[in-house]
Amino acid sequence: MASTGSNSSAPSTDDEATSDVIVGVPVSSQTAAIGEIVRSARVALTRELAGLRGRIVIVDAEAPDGTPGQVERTLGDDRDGLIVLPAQGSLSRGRALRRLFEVVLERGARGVAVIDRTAAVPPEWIANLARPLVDGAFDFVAPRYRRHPFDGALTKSIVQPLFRACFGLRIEQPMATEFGCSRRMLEHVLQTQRWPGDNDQTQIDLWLTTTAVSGGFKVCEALMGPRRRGSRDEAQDLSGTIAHIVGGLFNELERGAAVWHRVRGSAAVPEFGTAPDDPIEAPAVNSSNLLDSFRLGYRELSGVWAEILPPATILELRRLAAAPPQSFRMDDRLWARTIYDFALGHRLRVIARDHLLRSLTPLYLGWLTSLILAGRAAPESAIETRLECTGQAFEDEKPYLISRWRWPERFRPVRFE
Amino acid sequence: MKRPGSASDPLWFKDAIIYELHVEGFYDSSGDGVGDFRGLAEQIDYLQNLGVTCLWLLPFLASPLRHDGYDVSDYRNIHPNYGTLDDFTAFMEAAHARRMQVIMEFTINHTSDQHPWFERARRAAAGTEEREFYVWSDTNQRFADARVILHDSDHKNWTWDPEANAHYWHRFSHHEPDLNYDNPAVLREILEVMDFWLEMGVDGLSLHAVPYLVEREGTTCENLPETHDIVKAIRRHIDGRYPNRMVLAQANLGPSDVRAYFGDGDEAHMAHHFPLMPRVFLAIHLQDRYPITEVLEKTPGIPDGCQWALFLRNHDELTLETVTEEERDYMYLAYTGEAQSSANLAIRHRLAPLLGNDRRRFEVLTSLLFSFPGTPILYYGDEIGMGDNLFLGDRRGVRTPMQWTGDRNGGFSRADPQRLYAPVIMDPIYGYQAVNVEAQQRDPAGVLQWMRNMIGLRGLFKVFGRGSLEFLKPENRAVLVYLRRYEADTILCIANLSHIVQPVLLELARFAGLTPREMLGYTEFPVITEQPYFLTLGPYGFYWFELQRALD
Repeated sequence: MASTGSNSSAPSTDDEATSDVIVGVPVSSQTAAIGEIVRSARVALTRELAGLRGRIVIVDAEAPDGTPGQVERTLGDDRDGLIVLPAQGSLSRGRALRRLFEVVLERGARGVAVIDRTAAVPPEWIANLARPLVDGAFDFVAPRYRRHPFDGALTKSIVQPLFRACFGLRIEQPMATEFGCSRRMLEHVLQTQRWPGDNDQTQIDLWLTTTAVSGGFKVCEALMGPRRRGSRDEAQDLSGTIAHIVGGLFNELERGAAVWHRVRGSAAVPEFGTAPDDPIEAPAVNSSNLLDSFRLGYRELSGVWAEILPPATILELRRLAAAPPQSFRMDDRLWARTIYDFALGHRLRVIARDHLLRSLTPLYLGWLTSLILAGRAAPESAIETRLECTGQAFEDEKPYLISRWRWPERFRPVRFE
Repeated sequence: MKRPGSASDPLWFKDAIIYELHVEGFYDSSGDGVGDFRGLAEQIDYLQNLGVTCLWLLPFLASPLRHDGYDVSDYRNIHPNYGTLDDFTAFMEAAHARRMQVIMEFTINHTSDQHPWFERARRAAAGTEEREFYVWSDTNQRFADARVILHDSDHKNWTWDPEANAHYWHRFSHHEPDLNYDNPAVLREILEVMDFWLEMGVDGLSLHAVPYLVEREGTTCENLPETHDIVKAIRRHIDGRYPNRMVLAQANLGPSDVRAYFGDGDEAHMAHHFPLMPRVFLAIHLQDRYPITEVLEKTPGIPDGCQWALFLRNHDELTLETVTEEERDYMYLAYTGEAQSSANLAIRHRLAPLLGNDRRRFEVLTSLLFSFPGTPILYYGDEIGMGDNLFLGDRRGVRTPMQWTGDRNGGFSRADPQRLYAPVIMDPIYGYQAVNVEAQQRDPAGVLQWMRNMIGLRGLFKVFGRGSLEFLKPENRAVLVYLRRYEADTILCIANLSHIVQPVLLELARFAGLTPREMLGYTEFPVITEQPYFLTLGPYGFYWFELQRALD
């Protein structure tokens, strides 16, 4: 690793101007952990990726809350191997990533490992994200965190299975904010005119994953250990989170329709690295509250759902809402079709999109209740098997989605006001 | 400010669905009875929801409008009826924000006799550069082998100009003098006005009446080598300055003659396939695929970067110039019910009336349009089955106001009906109270929803715009069968051209083991074996199948 740092993206000597690998951190707010992140990245570059010329690039996105100033205060003169791209106005995550990628190409690096700003990550795992890129074997590296099967339920219930069924790869975190990208792929994405919108933080990450898959780039996963929790994770209410995450996913379905209509079946991707196999504590959940929320949702929102879901699904949900906890089980096929019908309703704008997405919340809680009730006394492996069944159901029901995507049907007669 | 085009793929036009419209007839925002750019921008979400990806604007430049705007009097301004340049800019921004491309009609063969170039030329001394912007002669006997194009209106190619004391040359009406491309200053000026629009972000130029640019004694004055040199110069100029723009050549010729306008990939990117259109109508009336297979099999290959522009109907008549005399007579007998139905070797109807308002015929022909090799062009209003008005003169009968609602003026304008640039269609079958966008948007079984679905489906498969074509020849000639192939996709298309149920046996042994998946509903059909594959098709029924391998 070069021994001197710079505050500019235009270093003064050839040696400084080139890198083999870059660790990038887009920063807009919540920079409390930045010092720890930089120190960990240095260790990754000097110890885990020894022999490679590495740099750490922080993209200062100048958030309105002024937190980027903390980067400077936190690091002081400790700038070894560090490039801070100075703020040029407020940047969305998408634009910050674009700026980072441009620097990666300018410096001739073989790839970039992008690290989330909210919490430090061990050096080994940063290296896991970067190593498949510098070896030239892979173009996109998605993280695979060690998590309890009940943890990250929104990803496991919707994002993972939908991505798997539509894009044909079994990736644990298709919307991760941490990933690795090869130079080859960066050249591709920077050439495309369509760059996700400024106001959407998550979509850019999903967009990169789908671009990797649809562009025929080689994809793998890096083992990352337990996922760290930054304060961002608790920032939004559940309905808002669902609207944000699932809305981004549905938008991506529209963009990539020409790709996923051709994809059949799915494949696992290679894994890289090692991670500790320590037991993970199950998150605390109250299934009784979840079930109540589902039932309340049925009472309050079934009229809205009837705009989105076919009558047969509404009847199944009615039966579920009346079921006692001991026999409450949401069938995987029903869940898959429900998500597909929401995707179709979103595409056709059968009701306002935000309203549609938020109305999914009780249904998601119903699915989660079903998972928890079935798995609370079971070993982790049994819950994983159940999740695998959910993923397979999404694959099996994919023709249902394609058929209706191509030739939509209305579930209710047209009303004449 | 120089604005970029909106496409990132240089071959964007191969995957496009083009929607051809008159600004004049689309939507009137100002209430003066004439459509305008603000109105077009207001309705652009309708076009986006329809799924079209490219808008082809018929002439909108300043003009005395004696030939529907093809008689340009100022190349750097839009006609005041349609708004201002600022309105045009706002429309372009709205289209590009929706990732839609915009093509403009560009008349380069001639101008209006009110264009300042002509005013200047007729007063200039003979032999001067100003005078030589147009083609002059002391006699009207030169270029005697050149035909008269507009038989039913003008009967001559020369007109005497008393001010110039000379005859001037015109292939179209006498008020549209031809530019003289033997004068290098003409091409320079034309390239400059092209720059003007390309710098405003226009994605493509549709060059009107390309074959007639240059005249030579002893020839028909059509498709001359010097004309191709002009087209090449235009293409070179645009390629060198504006990435991802497109040139469309309009040449009403047979496919082998039009082929020349692609050059070696160095002339037009696209050209209309004029002969296909009448033969599609011929085939559906004869209930025999031969007219279609013959013309497409005779269609020569074109360079990789080029594309055919396909259409069922457009702003002109259904031209019969490229069919045989006997075919022309058949078409007149089959498709012209009234004396006003024909003009200029062509039929004057819109699509729906041509097809007797038969929804099944409409669907099967649209399936052909969308699955033949080329880029489909839809003519505004055909997506809702609009009719025509044969009693309006010339080509005005198919250029009536778009029918948006069942309200006054079909929702096109708030003006008093007598102020409209043309009356809306009011007959009981095609009138605006029966046929309009609003009603069809609420009708899940309406033709508009069907078109939206078909456009969306076609957009998922590049094979239709880029793939190869191979006809299969089953015994039953009422059934048209062809394969489209591109990269990993193999699509089997089958269409019943008759009004009754038809069986067909297909030799598909080379695809044994593959499963046909019907593309509209994604329904799996029985696996193909070594034996002939048997299908039946309902009246005017069609299938598109993806041939899929079994999953491992």
